[in-house]
Amino acid sequence: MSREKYTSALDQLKISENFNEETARKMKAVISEKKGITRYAMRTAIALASAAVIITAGAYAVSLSGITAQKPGITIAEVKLPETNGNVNARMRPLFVYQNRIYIRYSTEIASPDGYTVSEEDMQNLRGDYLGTTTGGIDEWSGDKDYINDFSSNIGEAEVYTVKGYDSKYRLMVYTPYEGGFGCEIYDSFGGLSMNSGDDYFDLLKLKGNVVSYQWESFDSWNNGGMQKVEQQADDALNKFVKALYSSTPVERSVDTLIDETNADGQKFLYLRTKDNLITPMRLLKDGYVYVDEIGFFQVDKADFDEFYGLLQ
Amino acid sequence: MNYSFGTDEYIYFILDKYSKTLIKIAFSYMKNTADAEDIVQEVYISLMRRGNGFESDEHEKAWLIRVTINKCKNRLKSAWYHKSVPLDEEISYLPEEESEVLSEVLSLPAKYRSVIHLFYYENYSIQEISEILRKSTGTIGTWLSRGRKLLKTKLEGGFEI
Repeated sequence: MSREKYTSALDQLKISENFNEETARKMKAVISEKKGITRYAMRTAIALASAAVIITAGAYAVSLSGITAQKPGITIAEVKLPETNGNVNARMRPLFVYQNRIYIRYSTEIASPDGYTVSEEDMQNLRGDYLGTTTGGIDEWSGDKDYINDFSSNIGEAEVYTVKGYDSKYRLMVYTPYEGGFGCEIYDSFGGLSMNSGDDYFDLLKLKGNVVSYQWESFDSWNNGGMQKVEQQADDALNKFVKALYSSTPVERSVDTLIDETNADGQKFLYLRTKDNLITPMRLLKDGYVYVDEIGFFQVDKADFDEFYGLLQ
Repeated sequence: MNYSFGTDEYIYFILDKYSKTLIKIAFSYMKNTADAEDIVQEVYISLMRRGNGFESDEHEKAWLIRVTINKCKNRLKSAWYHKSVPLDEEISYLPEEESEVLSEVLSLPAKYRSVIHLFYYENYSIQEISEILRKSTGTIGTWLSRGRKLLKTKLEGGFEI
């Protein structure tokens, strides 16, 4: 009965009574820091987030799991609401609607000089024309009818602007002034975008000729939240790699399959910083694939890929 | 139930759901709850920094377990940890026989006791453990077998009965 005694012993293990409360406090602090907002704004953000909307499990699965067979050309999964509200089995995302398009947070972030907040200067340089102010109105049980209205959202009231230098069909900014500061985030609308080459996607991000520096970190650092990023200035190798991204081939691959096939030593995480201080993250897999979260895989010319990947030491 | 990532509801939901499991896994490595709790706190903080993006609850749980184990391994091999002379858990409050079994399991090499823990306490299959630890099923099977054999020499009747 040793097994039962082991189980019983662990069940009786004394865990600090305040562990969850204390840990929750630290977790909230990280979220607050990440958003770069004050305690005042944090309360607002949480209230807004609580009215989140969901992406259908089907759409999410298409985006992340894909199809295991390789074939060139992919279409980014569209964001949809579930047809029924009977079974919540999907992730909730902040989003809003503008001109019948759904804008959500993808992975692009605005750089933070102090690691916490966006600078006023960067915000001013990025913020274009005012388009309107979002309203509430989309909650997790909404039907498609709610999407018809411009600025329906699950993020409460926030100002929406174009982003200088980018196509407003695909990229907008949400700006939220608050007492003592502001929140500022990039929202994209890539759902439904068909990509036959990397150019179809990366050109929307305006990477070519605009990357000024980059950071990279190992799989272990990323996986453990180590934040051990190495920063380097853009150079010829980087520019060549970015050029190769534009001529890459989007392919349908399973995230699980590729990651299973690629051990931890064969993955690196790359963060490209453009002149306007936007950060575009991507995962490099040593076999020559670049994976962008919720967008898909791009097969890059192997020689160009290997040359750049080999420098990330 | 899915809550929006990073909200209070999400944070308390995930703490209630996984804390005991993760602390016990960390305990199986660190041999004391103070370090185990400390590491699991770091894991949750890593989760907040990592952000959303898990395909399923299973993926999320596997990530949390894997990061917990990685952090335990890192701490165990750190010079600072060894200089600080970590204390083994005071488990005198446990009944004698249970305390004895727990001590014997904790005396196993780390790789054996982690597999013993995941297999017998968390009821993971060898296949699932191989995915969590990113080792082949053959390796996991070998570790499990060796762990069981070592326990058999120490515990009357072995571990399973």
